[in-house]
Parts: sequence; structure tokens; C-alpha cells
Amino acid sequence: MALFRKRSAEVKPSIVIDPLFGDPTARQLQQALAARDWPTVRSILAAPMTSNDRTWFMSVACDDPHLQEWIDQAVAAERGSTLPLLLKGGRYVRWAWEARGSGLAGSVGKDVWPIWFDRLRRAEDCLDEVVEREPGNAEAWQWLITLGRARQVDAEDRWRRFNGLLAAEPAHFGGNRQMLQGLMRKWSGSHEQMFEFARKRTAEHPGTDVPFLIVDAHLEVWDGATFEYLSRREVSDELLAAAEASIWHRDYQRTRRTPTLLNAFAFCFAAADLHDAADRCFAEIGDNLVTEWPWQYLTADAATNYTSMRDYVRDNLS
Amino acid sequence: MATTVRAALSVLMLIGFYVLALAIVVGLGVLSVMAFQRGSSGVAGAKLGFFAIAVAIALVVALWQVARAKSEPVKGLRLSPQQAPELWHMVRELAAVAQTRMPDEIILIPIVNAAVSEDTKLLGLIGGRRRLYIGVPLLQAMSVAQLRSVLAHELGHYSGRHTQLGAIAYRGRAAILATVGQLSGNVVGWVLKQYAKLYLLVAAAVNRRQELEADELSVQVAGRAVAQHTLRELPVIEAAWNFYEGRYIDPGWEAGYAPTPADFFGGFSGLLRARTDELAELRREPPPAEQSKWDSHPSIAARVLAMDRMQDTFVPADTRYATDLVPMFDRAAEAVAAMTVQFDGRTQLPWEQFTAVAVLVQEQRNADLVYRAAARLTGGGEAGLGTVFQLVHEGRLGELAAEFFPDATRREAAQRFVAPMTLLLRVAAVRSNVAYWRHSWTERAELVRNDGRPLDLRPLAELAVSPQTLGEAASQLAALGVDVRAAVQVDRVATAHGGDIIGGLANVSVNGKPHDVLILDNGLIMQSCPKSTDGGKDRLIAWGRSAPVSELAAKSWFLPYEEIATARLVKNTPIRVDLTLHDGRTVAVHEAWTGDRLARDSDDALRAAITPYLPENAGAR
Repeated sequence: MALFRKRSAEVKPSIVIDPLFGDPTARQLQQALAARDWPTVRSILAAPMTSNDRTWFMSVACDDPHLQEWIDQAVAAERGSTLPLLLKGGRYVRWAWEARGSGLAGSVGKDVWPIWFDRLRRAEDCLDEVVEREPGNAEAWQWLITLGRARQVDAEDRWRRFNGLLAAEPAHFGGNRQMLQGLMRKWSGSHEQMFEFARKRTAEHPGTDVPFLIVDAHLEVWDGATFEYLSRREVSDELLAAAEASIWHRDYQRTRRTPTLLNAFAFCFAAADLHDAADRCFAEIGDNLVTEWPWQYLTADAATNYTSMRDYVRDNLS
Repeated sequence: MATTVRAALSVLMLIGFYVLALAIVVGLGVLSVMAFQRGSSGVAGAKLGFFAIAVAIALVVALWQVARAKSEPVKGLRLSPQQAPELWHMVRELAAVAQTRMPDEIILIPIVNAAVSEDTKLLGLIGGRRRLYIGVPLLQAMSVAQLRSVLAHELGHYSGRHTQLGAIAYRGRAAILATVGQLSGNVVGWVLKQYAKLYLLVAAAVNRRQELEADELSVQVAGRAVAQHTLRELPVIEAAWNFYEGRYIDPGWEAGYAPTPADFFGGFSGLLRARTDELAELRREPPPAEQSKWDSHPSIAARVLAMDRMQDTFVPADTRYATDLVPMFDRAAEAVAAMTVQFDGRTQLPWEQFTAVAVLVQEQRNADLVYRAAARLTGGGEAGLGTVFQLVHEGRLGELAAEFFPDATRREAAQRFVAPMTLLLRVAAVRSNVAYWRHSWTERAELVRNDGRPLDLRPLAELAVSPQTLGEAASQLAALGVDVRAAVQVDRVATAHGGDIIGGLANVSVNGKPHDVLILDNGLIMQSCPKSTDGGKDRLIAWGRSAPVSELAAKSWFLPYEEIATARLVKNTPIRVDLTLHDGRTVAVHEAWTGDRLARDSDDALRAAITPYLPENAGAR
């Protein structure tokens, strides 16, 4: 990887990362949110789609900075529907994080904590109501799992939430990923709990996105250190197996979440000098499906990091 | 020797105090004569003249009152030598050792204290009638040996063995404080107050020295060990009495009940005998060591330490109860209670019944809090246990419970509602006459069945908070004989009972009119006040002290926080809040720039109180 370090300074980025991957429906959703046009928002989010796509669209919607100012009107207008409540709950979680920032607990100002917990509590009231009326709403369970660790509820309650997800949709990628987060050391779990969960879930759901939990777990251990960790034989073998069980599995279905997986696999394989495997991922990502994560681990300029590593891999192909 | 010099100085300054006062009166007299002589020259001269006369009169009146004052003897039971021969004998003996005059009276008083007082003549320069006061709780908590130690100390203040001037300084302090107290609030009062402060600084040093000299007498008559132990025991007795009042008497007292005169002090004996472990625990704490330069007493820690250096004498300790010195003590204590305690028409009950009704009243008050919230939620005027059960049945308990657990989600609040539900069931059981609160001196009152077996309703409450098991709870309650319909709301409107004052704002505009506002932890008490912002703080203090908060609230406008639907923080400094109540009324509480506060952070108290009612987005902006 010495080569990569040298070249990175010379390379000019030719790629602009678009979080929406140029998706016209997502663009339309953003515009409808900005215009506070509830009927359009509803029609996009309520359309039939895979749960991965739904998670992705929900995420786009919950990033709207003004949603909390008007979503109550939709809640009041559509008492019979859980969608506005789901959206309100998700938005309040994001809004809580916007107040808190993404740093460790120690970096959070004292006056922020009441706001953080207040927004999370309100979010959970909405989502509790959604799953009470619609226990099969996996998207709501996913947010509730996130809330479980954010609100620091006890382990029993965290597993109650995950069991709710299992009953609704056991291979729900977002929900499984959020549960894994909660088992990480930084959220008062441990590496052992994290890997045990990731491996067990991976074994149970081949051909889905779930085996990607292995990548999440290894990246958590690595956490921006030298690439030596990712190059270890036992690590790279497990990462390859995870790719075989997910993106390269014959049953695997591509969704709007797939670019996340491709980028992370590409990153890990490039770091581990598995050039062929990395190139397979780079080819599929191209210039249009690049994500910020995990390239931003290296420097803030994720696009440059992406092209540098791609060039490095291509220069070294057998 | 140093003490004598200091004492002489303080006596000189005592005389100086009156000379200064006299000089002011004469000076003002001259001034006013001059003012009136030039009266034709303008209104200002006349004003000054009137002012001078007014101040002079006030000063003369104050001095006259102090000079004439026979200190009103503290209310209590006078014990004749025939009634308590052994006590009188002991005091006589101690007076002889102290080489001082025997008190003319021995009086039992209702507080944790002992003191010797003396009517002062000639503005504190000569002594008059002498009274020895002994607190009933002190007698109850001490041995004869300890009482000897305490009384020797008190008589030691008048001991002629050290310096006659010391006794004068001791009296002078009281006289000066009284004069300044009479004059508070005018310019001359301020001048004299500064002089008095100087005097007190000099005298305080003398007084502290005198305390130590009085302690020497304690060591001499009681022995060092007993004297030290007694000193350290005083804060313990004080703490025990405060606990007794706060835990056992106040709850029923506030609700309009009282122990009988015989039980009033009798209960304290019961408590002292029952809670020996806790008292032992209290004794292990180090004695208070704080000391300000104004204090007339050195700290107890310092006094205990000083006793280490005093000449010890062997005195066999008389371990009998101090109460043994007063034959038929219980009757005497009952008489003291009857004479001194203001029962104010309260229903007097023996302890068993007093506690039972006191706890029930407290619990009903808390239950009413829940019932009023349930009534608001269901839109009815009143609610009872049946209403709450109906909410559980409909899966709406979380909505009710969230009001009591603001940090919890509705789902969590419903689970945590087990505690309030247990309370509701307890009140229902007592109201249905299947259980009662059993008094205990060792622990909190316990809910027991009529046959005396404890009744724990928590398991039933756990069933009652979930719609799935509510039916089971209801049938078990019926089997116990608890009538759900017997558990209803008693107070439709919240009272301030049990509230504590946490702040106060004077000259606040409440809906446009000037009000003084006391901020409690359960509501606001508001009453109209003058427009002028002068003396706001004093007014708040006087108002807050004038009666228990429940009475203040009943006499003025009490706004319990539970009646607030939403609040808006209009301005932070000065604090301005607009409240909208559940019944639709609005109350605008706007502090003025110039208004006084009870404490500097009283605005924080108000802000914290209304925070739960701010609209959900307020935190973001």
C-alpha cells in the first residue's frame, strides 16, 4: 500500500459523490419534502418496494431538516395510517442525533442531553404506536432497535425490540445492522458479543444483505488503524466468505442499499491487497454508485480516496 | 486577664451605644429647632424638621421600650420546689458551685433547649428576675448526669467567679439587639446598627470566652467525660426531635389533626426508646465545627476539644433518666403541651389513630393527583379507581401515566405505573375498611389487614396495569372485600399541601396586575401587592413565614402546576411566562426589571417548574 500513499496527492478527483445515486424518485421525494407536499411524499413512501429500498427512502425523508415542523399535520390528518407516525418517529431520532453530533458521549455538551433524550422519547412514543397497531412493521422495529441503545434501555428490552423485528422480518438488513451496533463495545457491548451476533445471523440468512454484518464488525475492530488488520488471513478470508454469502450469492437481490455493501467490500479488499475481488466491486460501483462511507475513514475527501484506491488496485491487477 | 480587659471594653462600648443614641436624639432636636426657625425660607427646612422629630421620637420610644421591657417569660409550666424537690435541690447546689444567685423560677418549655434568662435593668447594666428554662425533650433524652452538665453551663454564664463585667456584657448584648430590632428600617437605625455590629464583634469574642468558662463549670460538676458526651449529645437530640416533628407530627398536623397533649411529648419518648440504633448512628457523626465571627458560641467541636485541657474531677455519673427528677413527669409534660402547643382546633387523637388518619390523608392527596389527571383525560369532572381501570382496559394507561413519568415513553410509563397503582389500591382498601395504617416508632407506618397481617397490594397492582390481567386484579380485589367504587377523588382542586417554597418573585405582573408570587414545588401562590417595588424581598419573606404553605395557598390564589396545559417562555430575563390552563384560561406571569426576588435564582426555579409544559419543539430553538 506504500504506492497508494504516494499517488494520492497527485490524483485529481473526477467523481462527485451523489448520496441519491442520481435516483429520480429520491430527488422527487426530496423536493416534495421541501415543498411540504404530503400527498406526494406519501405516494412515494407507500409504494410497493423491497424493505431495503424502503429503509433507504425513509432515510432520505428523515434527513429533511424541517420535517418535524409539519409532520404533525399529516399525523392528525391520517389517524388511520401508521406512515406519518413512522416518519415522525424516524425524523425525531435523526433530529436527536443532529443535536447530539456523532462524537463520543464525552464530546456532547451538558445542555444537549435533555434535548437528546426528549426527542428520543417522543420518537419512541410514535414508533411504539406503529408496532402496536402493526406488529409486522419491520421499519418501525428498526428505529426502535436504534432507540434501544440511544436511550440506554436494559439488555432485556433491547432484545425485546430485536425479537419484534425477527417476528416481522428476520432478514431485515437495517434492523440487523442496528442491533449489531448496539452490541459494539462503544455502545457498552463487546467485540465478542458483536462477532457472535454477526456470525450467527450470517449463517442464518445466506443470499441476503445480512452477511454484511461481518464487514461492519471487522471495520469496527479496525476503526481507522493500519491496513494490517484487514490484511490478516483470517480476516480477509471471512470478508471474502461474507461477499460470497451476500453480493456474490446467486439468490442475492440488488436494491438501493447494495452500493453501501459494494463500497465497503471494495474498500476492505483493496486494503487487504485482494486486487481481483476489489476490482469486481469497483467495476460495479463505477463512477455513479460511490458512497462517502467507508472512504471517509482515510481523509475527509472520500471521492479522491475512492479513485486513488481504485487506481492502485487496477495498477496491481494480475 | 485578656477576658477582663475585653469585657471592660465591651461594657464601655455598651455605655457608648446609649451615649450615641442620646447624641443622635439631641442632634436631631437641635436640627429640627433650627429648621423651624428658618421655616419661612422654604418647604425643605420644614420637611427636615418633621423628619428629625419623627426619628427622634422613634429612637426615644425604642429606648424606652427596651429600658422598660421585662422580657416576656417564655410560655411554659412553672415547677415549684414542692413539685420537683430533687430538681430544685440540684439547681441550688449548682448555683452555689457557680457562686451565683439561685434562679427565681424553673420553667418547663416545649423546645430542645435549656437557658437561664434575666430581666435586665438600667439598659442591661443590672440584673433582675432570673428564670431557668428546661426543654421537655431535653429531659426526655438525657440522664441526670447530663442534665447537671447542661444546667451547670447555663448557670456558669452568671458565675461571679470570673468577672462581674462578663455578666454585664452578656446582658448588654441582649439589650442592644432588642434596641436595634425596634429601629429597623430607618437611617438612624442604620447608624446604630453599624455601631451594634462593632459592639457585637468585640462582645462575641468575650461571649465565646465565657462559653468556655461556663464549660469549665460543666466539667467540674459532671466530670469531663460526661460533660463532653453531653455537648455532643445536643445536636443528636435536636436531630431526633426534628425527625419526630417532620416524620410523625407534621403530616397529620397539616391535615387538621394533632396528637393529644399527653401523646405530644409522650411520642418522643417512644421514638427515643425505639430508635436506639439510629441514635447511635447519629452519635458517630463528628460534632458540628462551623463557626462564624458573629457567633456567641464556639463550635461544639471546639468546646469538646477545649474540655480536654480542663481540670477533670471524678464525679460518679447519675445514670437515672433526667425525667426522674420531676415526679409525675408525664403529667407535667402533658400540661406543657396543653399550655404551649397551638392546637388551633385540631382533632386530637392518640398515636395509633393519629398516624392511621395522617397517612390516609397523605395518600388520598396523592391519589387525588392521579384521579384529577384521569378526569382531565376522560373529560369527566371527577374520576376514581374505576376510571383508571377503564383507561387500562382501553389500553390508554400510558397516556395517564406519562403525566407522572415525564422522562418515560407512554409504554414505559404504563409499566412504571405499578407504584401509583399500588397507592390507589391501598387507599381503596382503607376506604373499604379492609385494612388500616398501623403506627410504628421504629419504621414507617405499615398497611395491615384488620386482623393485623400485613397487606401488600403491589402484586395486585402489577396485574392491574395491564389490560390482559386487569380482570384478574379486579376479581382478587373483590375477594379481599375492596370496593373499587369506594376509591374516589376527594379534592377536586389541588391544594398546596406538602409543597415547599423554592423561590419567590415580588411585584410581578400577573395578567397585568402587580402580584407577589411564591414559587412552590407543586404550584404558584399569588397575591396582589402594592405598585411600589420597595421592600419586595422583605414582603416575600414575611409572607412565606406567616403560615404553612397550605394556608397561604388557601388564602390567596393558588395555581397548581398540574392545571397547566402548556407554557410559553416569552423572555428569559426578566423572566416572562405565559401559561395556558387545561380549562382554557391564560395566566401571564411577567417579572419586572426592578422587582425583588426571594433568592437570586428564583427565576431559575420558575423556569424549571414550567419546563415540562413547554411545547415539544421549544428545545430546538
